[in-house]
Amino acid sequence: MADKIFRVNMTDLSTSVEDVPADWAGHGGRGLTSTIVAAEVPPTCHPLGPNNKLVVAPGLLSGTPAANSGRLSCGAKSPLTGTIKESNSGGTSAQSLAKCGCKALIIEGLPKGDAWYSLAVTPEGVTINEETEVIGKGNFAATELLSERLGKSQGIITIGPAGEMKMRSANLSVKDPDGHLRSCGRGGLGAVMGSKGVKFISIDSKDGKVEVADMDKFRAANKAFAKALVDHPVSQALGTYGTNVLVNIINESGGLPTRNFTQGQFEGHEQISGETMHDVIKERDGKVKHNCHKGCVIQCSQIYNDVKNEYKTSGFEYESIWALGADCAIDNLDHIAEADHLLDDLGIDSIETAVAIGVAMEAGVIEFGDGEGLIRLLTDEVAKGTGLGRIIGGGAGDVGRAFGVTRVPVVKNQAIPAYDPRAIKGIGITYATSTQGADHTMGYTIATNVLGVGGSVDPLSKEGQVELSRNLQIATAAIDSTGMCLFIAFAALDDETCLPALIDLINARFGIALTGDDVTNLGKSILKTEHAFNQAAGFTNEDDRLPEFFSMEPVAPHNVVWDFTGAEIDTFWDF
Amino acid sequence: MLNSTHHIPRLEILISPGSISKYTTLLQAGIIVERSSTITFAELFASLPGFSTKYIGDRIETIFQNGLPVDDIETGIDGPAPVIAISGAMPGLAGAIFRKNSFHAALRTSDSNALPDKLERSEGVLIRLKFFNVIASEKGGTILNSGCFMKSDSVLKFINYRPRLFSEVLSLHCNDESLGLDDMKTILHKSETVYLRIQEDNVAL
Repeated sequence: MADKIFRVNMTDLSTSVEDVPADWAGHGGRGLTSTIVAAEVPPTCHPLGPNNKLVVAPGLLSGTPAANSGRLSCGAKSPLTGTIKESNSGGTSAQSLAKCGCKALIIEGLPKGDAWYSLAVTPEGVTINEETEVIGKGNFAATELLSERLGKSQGIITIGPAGEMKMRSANLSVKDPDGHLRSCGRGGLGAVMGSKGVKFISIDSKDGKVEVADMDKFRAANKAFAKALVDHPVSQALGTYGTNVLVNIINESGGLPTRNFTQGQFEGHEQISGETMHDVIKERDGKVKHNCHKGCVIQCSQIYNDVKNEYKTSGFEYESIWALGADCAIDNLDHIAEADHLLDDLGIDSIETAVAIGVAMEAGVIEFGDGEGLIRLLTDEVAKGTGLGRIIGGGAGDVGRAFGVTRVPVVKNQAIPAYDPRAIKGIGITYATSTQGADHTMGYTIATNVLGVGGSVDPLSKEGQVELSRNLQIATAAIDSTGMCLFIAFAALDDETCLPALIDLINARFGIALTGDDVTNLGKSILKTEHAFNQAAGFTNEDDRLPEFFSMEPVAPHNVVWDFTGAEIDTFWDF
Repeated sequence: MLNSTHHIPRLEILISPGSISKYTTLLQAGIIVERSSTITFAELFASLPGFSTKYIGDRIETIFQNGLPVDDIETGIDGPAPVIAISGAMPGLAGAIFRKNSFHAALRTSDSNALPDKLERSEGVLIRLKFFNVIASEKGGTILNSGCFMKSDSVLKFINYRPRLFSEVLSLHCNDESLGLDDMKTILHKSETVYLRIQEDNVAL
């Protein structure tokens, strides 16, 4: 069946199935969400008002047997940053949506009353149903109830209480193959879905299948692609320690932001490291290896059990552990896991919320290192929607403004994640220039040489660093459109067969003949589309800046500051 | 220096067969080795038990010295008390930035090329050598089985954080005398450095 656009209007509670406009046909994932948001959302609209639209899109390869192709992209104007936003996640929904023939689901308008609704997606289209049973429930209870009601095979995208309260850090939770949760974490897209009165989206693909134009070529390309992923040493490390393997490395480099970015190393890093986590997981009969979607051959997720050997959290990521750990000076992995579980249940970004609490700690709300206090803030304040809870749920910027803290690590009001830009300057350029606020996944380590975007300027010069960051962001935007997990990047960097195999997969899927240049041009087009939206929303080059404390406060142990000028950063957009 | 080690407690721990992998994370805190001040990274690694030239070339992808990434293992160790960390290939852009000889090294803040090639001093240096992730899991058993010097507080922290693990040990000895876990903690509290050897019980102590 041909892919269609599924549209839902929450104002009049109508739905439609539409042909895909020609301009959108070559897009998937992030490329498609950003193209649709740019085309249909007025850039100056209120993110929680009737003119914003939530767009959900599988990637170009989602729903096929391609390894690691199960990422789901969600986009809108962000209530946290005010910019265009794409946030992606694993889970089962991307593959289910693709098998429904849904190229994108667009949710627009606002309901007139206070009722809550759910959306049921099938290959025939979308139906809107009034919902009462799971309203007010946390994500875990809601997902469990819905799995009982709808069957375990359906894809589910939910918001938790944070989304219902329209907190600006609320995320979208996506059910994974085990019935646990993955998150489109960043930028407050859960608040957008909450503003539209939608508690959850269920996806039943029935017997739908994704057509592949040339299955023989597809199988051959997938074999080469999967082999490159499995054989790569980074994939092996990820499958053993998860992304949290980075704690020790980043701490060693002096780039592990600690105590609200006042230090670059955390004395408790060994207690929260990936190596320690691995041992604790094994000791408690958890799983060190776990996939967030069918077909993942890297399996960087894990299942972390509590001291009673009972499930506590999964997908326990480095950035979350850093934010709840080093940034808040908490060295107890069980406190961090409990907080991660609560954040998943509330449906709120674990990076933004934890960084917000780090700022609150600096303000004296609780002491640095107070793990039990952090859990209490989440259960007694954020979950209950108290005044303090709503400030924290509004993100690090809101906490800084409420308490008069000047050391607030945000760009475009989104919290800077787990790599201090003073110690790792190349990442700082990406934080500053990203179209989506500070985000470590916007400029990933892609095979820039294969894509012909390796750069032509001395890479050790500032100009060269800006160019490399730009090229990484271009390549990342393209990869984000495929439905592929970004962790394919490591194999794509080192194995010359990997990225060509990915392009072969796309060509075999659609019966086309893309080249590496086409992929690069796709990435450039996406970045320019997103940048143009932000400019129309009122953003200027002056928003492409790190907070001034990074230039004023040297960070130990290397005692370095951020020293890129505005003019140097502004060359980023010279393409 | 470690060449006068008679005052350093010698702790020996006997554990169940096949369980040495549970203890290798101890090495993330680092062992203390004494070497010539003119030694290179390659020579240092090659002097470790179980580290072949092929293994060093294939598996040690990320190296830090005093928090700075190192690209060339033929360069000399720097300073009187260097801290060196070794790791496999790491994920993420940051992981790529810090990998030795990485294309993305351009995005580093500091450049380890500024380090001197060789030191002129003749005395030995005490190196704190940390083993992370796959390096610890692949070679940690051999290192612990061979015995190593460690900072006592690192061992104590590990014991306190992993009490279940240390309730499973078969025997503890200090300077050939049997002792309990609390006695061992007392010794660790009193000493700055210990010699630690962990062996499975199919290897005679």
